[in-house]
Amino acid sequence: MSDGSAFISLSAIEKRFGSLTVLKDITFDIGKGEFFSLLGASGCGKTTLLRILSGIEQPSAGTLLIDGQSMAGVPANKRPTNMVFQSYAIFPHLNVEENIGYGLRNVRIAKDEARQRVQEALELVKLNGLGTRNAHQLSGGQRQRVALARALVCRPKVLLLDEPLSALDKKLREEMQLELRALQRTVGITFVFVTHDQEEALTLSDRIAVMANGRVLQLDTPQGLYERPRSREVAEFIGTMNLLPGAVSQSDQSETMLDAGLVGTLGGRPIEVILDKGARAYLAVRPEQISLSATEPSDPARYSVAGEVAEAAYLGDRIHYQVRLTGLEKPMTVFVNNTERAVVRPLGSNVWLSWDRSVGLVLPG
Amino acid sequence: MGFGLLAPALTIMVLMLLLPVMALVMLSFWSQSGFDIDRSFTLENYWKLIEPSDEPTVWFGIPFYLKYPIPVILMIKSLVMSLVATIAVIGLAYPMAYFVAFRVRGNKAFWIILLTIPFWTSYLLRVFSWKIVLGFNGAINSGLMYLGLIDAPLEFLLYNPTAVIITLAHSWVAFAVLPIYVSLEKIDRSLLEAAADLGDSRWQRFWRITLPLSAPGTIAASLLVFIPTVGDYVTPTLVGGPGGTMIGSLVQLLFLRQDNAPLGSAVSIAMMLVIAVLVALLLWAIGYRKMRARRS
Repeated sequence: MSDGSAFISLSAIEKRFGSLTVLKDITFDIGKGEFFSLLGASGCGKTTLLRILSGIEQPSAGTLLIDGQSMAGVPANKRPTNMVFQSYAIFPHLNVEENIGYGLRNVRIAKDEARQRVQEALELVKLNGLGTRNAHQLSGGQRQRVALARALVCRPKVLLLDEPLSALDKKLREEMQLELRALQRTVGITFVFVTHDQEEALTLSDRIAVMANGRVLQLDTPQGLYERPRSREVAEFIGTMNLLPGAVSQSDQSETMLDAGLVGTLGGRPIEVILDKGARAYLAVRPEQISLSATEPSDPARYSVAGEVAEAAYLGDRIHYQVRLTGLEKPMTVFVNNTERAVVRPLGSNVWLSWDRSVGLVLPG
Repeated sequence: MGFGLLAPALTIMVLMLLLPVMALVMLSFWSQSGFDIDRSFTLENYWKLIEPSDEPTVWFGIPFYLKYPIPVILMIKSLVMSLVATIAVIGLAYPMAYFVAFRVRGNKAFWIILLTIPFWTSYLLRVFSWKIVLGFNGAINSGLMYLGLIDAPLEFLLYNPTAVIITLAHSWVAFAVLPIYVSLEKIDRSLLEAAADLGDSRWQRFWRITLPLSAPGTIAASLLVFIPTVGDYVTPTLVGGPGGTMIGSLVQLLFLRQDNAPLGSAVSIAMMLVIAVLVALLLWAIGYRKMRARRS
């Protein structure tokens, strides 16, 4: 867990390839021992940022400090970082032990100690007994473990992981997520993890930087990102979010009212800025915060709107509904937990959606 | 289906390679008597190559206790000269291939075409042009004399083993670039990044990753140069002079001048076997099969 001090400090990092700017004004700190994720769609610059941390790429502008040391002009082989590559980059001409011990040849330690550290690393990633296997005899999951052990055996101050789980199938990926999290707690090294999978980022991270178009959109804890997204992009990227477009009709510190056309006037908490009257905005409500009922709820602490079931999907533990509202182009998504033998409502039936007045968020349009 | 695709090549190989070689093998077990060939089976030709004698022939300080030592001496000499030429070729080709594979961005095909430009003229012309460069009144001598660095032409440039090696190296270097280039091009660049990340300097990365992973291509290139140059006879004949003769010159001499085709065949077959054994030993010693298996 983070102790709050800045262990890695990025300020005004910029990266250009020719005329293309792939990273712009990246400024944030990562704490010691933190599990930090860079999350974004492909092409958002997250991998480039990771490669800048590793020293494989140099930033076009800006400064990078790791453990108080400036990394300007420090090549990859002299940095206190090690990386797990997306392709794993297992050396094909070396066996598992030789792969894991590769970096130790560049450290001044006795041969016996190096051998012992390789064995410990093999145990750490549960590859005992496979030390003499050749690289091409390994499965995807095993290759991933070798790459992990090879990086960890060098005892880096920061471990960089470039989508290490994306090549694995779903079940193995979930297993590895748990293992990775446990491993990070055991070794206590700062992890910087790149992923495009928001669920993976939420599961693993202490904090997440959501990136798009070479910028950081929002940096927060998983809970903060999910519950207090500051922009429409983040709200849509993390989980599922219903967005009702409208115009601000009235606003103050605690509540902003939106005129959402035929849907009615609805309110929500403003995020950061208080929007001017008349400004375009979205009311954001999570699908699981919405209740679905056949009759209009009379609770004054709840907003309610009428709609028609357009789609219903039975998922076992819950039911997903798409509910069409008059005057709204996109149907609203509602998740109903299958707790008390919920009935799946037929398509076309008229229903009421309601949510607590305090749960909606107003995001700038 | 597979054999169908193979058939044209196989037919040509059998007709134009296997049959002549078999004829050569048969010929080597016959003997020459005057202008005719005696077709009774004999091992005499092979015996001649290794027939011992009490009087040693000394060559470079090494005594050869053989009655007819020329084939063995020329064999060893050819192997050594080819080996030196092969080393020179790899030394020249590897940096070129490395440059195209790692430093050229974009138009690699252009560079590969540039490398083949010497092949647009014939082998014979290229060898002849070396004669012009290295000759008594050749480019190097004239140039040095013009600059006033020497008074008389240097005589050691042409008609000796060095001239043969220089010419062979030049003739074969482009053949060696391609296999090395392919093996370098195939190396996943993230392996080099991983090596750097694990603390390797530029040189360490080359020794520990690039060189071992390009070894199969480099070995293939070496064999591609070594095997044909051992038996080459055009280059030694044109630029080698009396000191630069190789085993190919002897075969030509036996077949055409001395009219002893059976002995010439025996020399050829012996040479083929020696090269085959040497190559097999080399590949076994460096674990070529293992190397290839690991690459996949």
